[in-house]
Amino acid sequence: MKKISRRCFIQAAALAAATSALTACGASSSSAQAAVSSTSDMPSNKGTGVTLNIYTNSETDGRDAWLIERAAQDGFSVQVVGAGAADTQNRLLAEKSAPIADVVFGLNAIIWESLKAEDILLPYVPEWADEIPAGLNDPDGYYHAIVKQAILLVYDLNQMSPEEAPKDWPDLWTKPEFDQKYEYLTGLGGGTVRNVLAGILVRYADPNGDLGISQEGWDAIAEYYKHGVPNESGVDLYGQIVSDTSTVVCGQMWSSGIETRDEQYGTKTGYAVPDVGVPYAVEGVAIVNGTKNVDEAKRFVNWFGSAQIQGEWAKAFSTLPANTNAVSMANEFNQEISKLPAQQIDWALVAKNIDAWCEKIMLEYMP
Amino acid sequence: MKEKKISFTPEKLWSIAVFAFFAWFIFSFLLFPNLNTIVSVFYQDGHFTTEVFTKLINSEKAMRSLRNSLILAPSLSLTVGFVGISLVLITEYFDIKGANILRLGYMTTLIYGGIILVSGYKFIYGKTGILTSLFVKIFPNFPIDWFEGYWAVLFVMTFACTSNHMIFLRNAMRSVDFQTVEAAQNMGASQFRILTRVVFPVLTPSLMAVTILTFITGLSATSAPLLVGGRDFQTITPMILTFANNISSRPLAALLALFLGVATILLLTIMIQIEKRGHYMSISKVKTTIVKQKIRNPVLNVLAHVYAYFLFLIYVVPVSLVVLFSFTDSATIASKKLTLSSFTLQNYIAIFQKASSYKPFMVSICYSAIAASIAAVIVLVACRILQKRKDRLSGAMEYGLLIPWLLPTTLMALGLITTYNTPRPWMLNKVLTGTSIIMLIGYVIIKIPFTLRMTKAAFFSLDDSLEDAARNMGAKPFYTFMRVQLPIILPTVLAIFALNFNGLLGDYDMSVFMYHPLNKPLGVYIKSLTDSETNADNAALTFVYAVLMMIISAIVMYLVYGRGNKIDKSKD
Repeated sequence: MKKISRRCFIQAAALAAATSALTACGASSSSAQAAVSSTSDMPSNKGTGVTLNIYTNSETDGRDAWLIERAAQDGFSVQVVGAGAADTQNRLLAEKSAPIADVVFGLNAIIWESLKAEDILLPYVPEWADEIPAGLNDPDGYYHAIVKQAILLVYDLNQMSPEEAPKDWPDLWTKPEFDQKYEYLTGLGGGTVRNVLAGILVRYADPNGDLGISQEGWDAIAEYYKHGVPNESGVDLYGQIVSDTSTVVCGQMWSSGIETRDEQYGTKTGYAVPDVGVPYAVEGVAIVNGTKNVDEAKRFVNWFGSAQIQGEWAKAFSTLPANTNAVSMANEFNQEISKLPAQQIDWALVAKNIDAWCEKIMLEYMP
Repeated sequence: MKEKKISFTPEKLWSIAVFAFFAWFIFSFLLFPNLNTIVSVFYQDGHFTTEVFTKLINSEKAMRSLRNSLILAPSLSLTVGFVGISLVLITEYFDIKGANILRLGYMTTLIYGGIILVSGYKFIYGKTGILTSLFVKIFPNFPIDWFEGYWAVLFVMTFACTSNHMIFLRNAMRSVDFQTVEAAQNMGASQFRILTRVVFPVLTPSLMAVTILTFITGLSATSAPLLVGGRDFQTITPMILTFANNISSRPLAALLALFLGVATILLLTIMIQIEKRGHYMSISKVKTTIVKQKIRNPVLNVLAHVYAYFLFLIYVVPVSLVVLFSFTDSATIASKKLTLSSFTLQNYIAIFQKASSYKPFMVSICYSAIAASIAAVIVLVACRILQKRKDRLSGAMEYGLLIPWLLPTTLMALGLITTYNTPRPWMLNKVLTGTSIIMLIGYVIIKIPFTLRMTKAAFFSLDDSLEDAARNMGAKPFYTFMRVQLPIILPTVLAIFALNFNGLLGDYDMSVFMYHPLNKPLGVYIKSLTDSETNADNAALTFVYAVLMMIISAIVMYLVYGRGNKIDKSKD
């Protein structure tokens, strides 16, 4: 058994090397593909060495290098193009008529929905789709979940006890003790800030309200910006929390970033667990419509979302896998995160309106 | 009646080809993609709409930001003009002790800028800054947020934006003819009178050009308002960037950009008119280099020295602190408290150990060098035409080449990639989006207006009689250009090249939409490493990369400009 898998690996590696040599000489990838498909017993989640361009907003902290290397071990030759979520989305839109990317991963449901509407994704249901908890995958099969990220209201336990800390987002602007004590972001392009806003606004959903939100909801947003402290470019939330001169003691944070920051700043993060639950940003993976390497892209998606790879990913980067068979490989902190109640969010409403919401906030509420 | 003979001499064919090139270049890269963007503002879903306009007019924030930008631009032109002129007088005209060291200090803005520069200033004047802490010790009630708002933005930007003065105004100062100064002295003119009547007129073309640049910088201010503007003084560009990234809000971004564009057009039109009226030429045919003037009034002399060294401190302390803090970690940068134990080499070691960190440097150096060279060549040809012909066609060409000044980089990048993601006949049906060439095109066009403006100023100060002399001796126009005119303006051309190169080296706004997957440029690479959304130690890394880029920029400045000056001097 061991021997076979090893031979498989050597075979794949040799093929990968041969293919990359071929591509380097300018041979078209289709000829390489033809050469490969003659070896028939290749499992579906091993790569053939056709080079895939992968766009992602989740390439930092060495994730890109890890992915390139790990994928190569299984016969995939990938190039990772990293940029922020909004930039990645813009790039995909601009390249719509001449796509360069084969696979995209890391984006959240809000962006997936907009890409789906623009006809930029190719529907494909990967082999592991059933291993994802209900409600996280796209029912139409365009994108599927890989990583769950809780969007939290965090504070430093060294400075504030759980009793003193805010219990839910509205505490920030309704309780006077948090006036000027929390940070808000002046840019609204990030995935985290959009999830926070969505988590607040959907509580006030009202079909007759402006952009589907009641006036009460907009008043809440106005109060949120009125009592908070704007973020400072170049200094992140934790920098503000530990600073003597800043009044900020809490703010928004996504779960997998907490551990590295506690290490960096010597903080001990506590977080609010609201009765309505916490918003989960779900990072997904999808294939780009118009890719010339459909088969290889499918193989890659099958491989990348599998419990094995997502488990390794979780270990390496302290993430919480969406794949139920991989959750056990996540660390203790993420196990704890996985038990938090999820806030019920009408993602269709959010996806349809988030851009307009952000625009309205920029124009009317942001000081 | 004279009969015009149509003959196609090689020279004529050549000029037709050149004009055809410019027509194609301006249309396909400057006009069409941007028109595409602008049309999207007013035509939505196939019909004309003013909804975007109404939205903006009704937004208090948008209107306030717009007003702030329009206040900042002219006030900055004045303050930068004042400081810029005094820097040049201190280093080149008056006899100030230690001028060489002072000059190095004043030139630090050539190698760093943007967020990093403003962060440097915050180390001194910010809430936890050195000066603020000192004030608080002396006056316990001193407000720690004193360095915020309009005055703080104006202060930081005044000292951040003197780079162009230090290069172009300084070059102009060197072409002041000392014989005329001496003659004026012999006639008993006071030092002040000589300055205003002899020296300043020679500086005027360059001063006008750099003032335009300052004005545009003020209009599009981003980092300074973001970092020290506080709630009350936010400007329009950050808003444009936010809207540009939000697909459905892009028309808002385009419209806001149009507002700024109109202000810029007004300014440019006025400046071009003024320039047409006056012909600026150097006064003397046989030039003698300037001898530094000692300030005769002893009180003024002391005051001038104090002023010079005070400015030196303002310039040098922030950059020194940036270098110092690059050896610490993010927590130290946030608290701004330096202890011996907070120093570490870890940041640098981490970068140099990773082989993948080198490649972005190489990519950006290649792209920036090639783009800066292409921009220089295109602009030299254009300036030559502008100098020779003053008709409508060349006028149109000039305005065409200045288009990139009217729109923010982000919008131009989006215009280019959405225009050329389908085959266009005038691009030989080649799709450009996703190729390695489109970023090069982007880099070239964003640098064209600046290059044009500064090169043109150099051309205008050329002495026509030199060319006449060469022609009388039978030299062909091309030969005259290469052997007579080019050598004279070469220091300026090289200086512009260096500035363009340094500006492109860390570019993010253009690159992020255009880079080829295989060739990630430095700006994008740094941003992904230092984004506070994704990386805990971002602040420290930002400083480390800033220092590395300062080193590259300084080397380029020295190679291209520093050495060029020496050659220049040895000829004198």
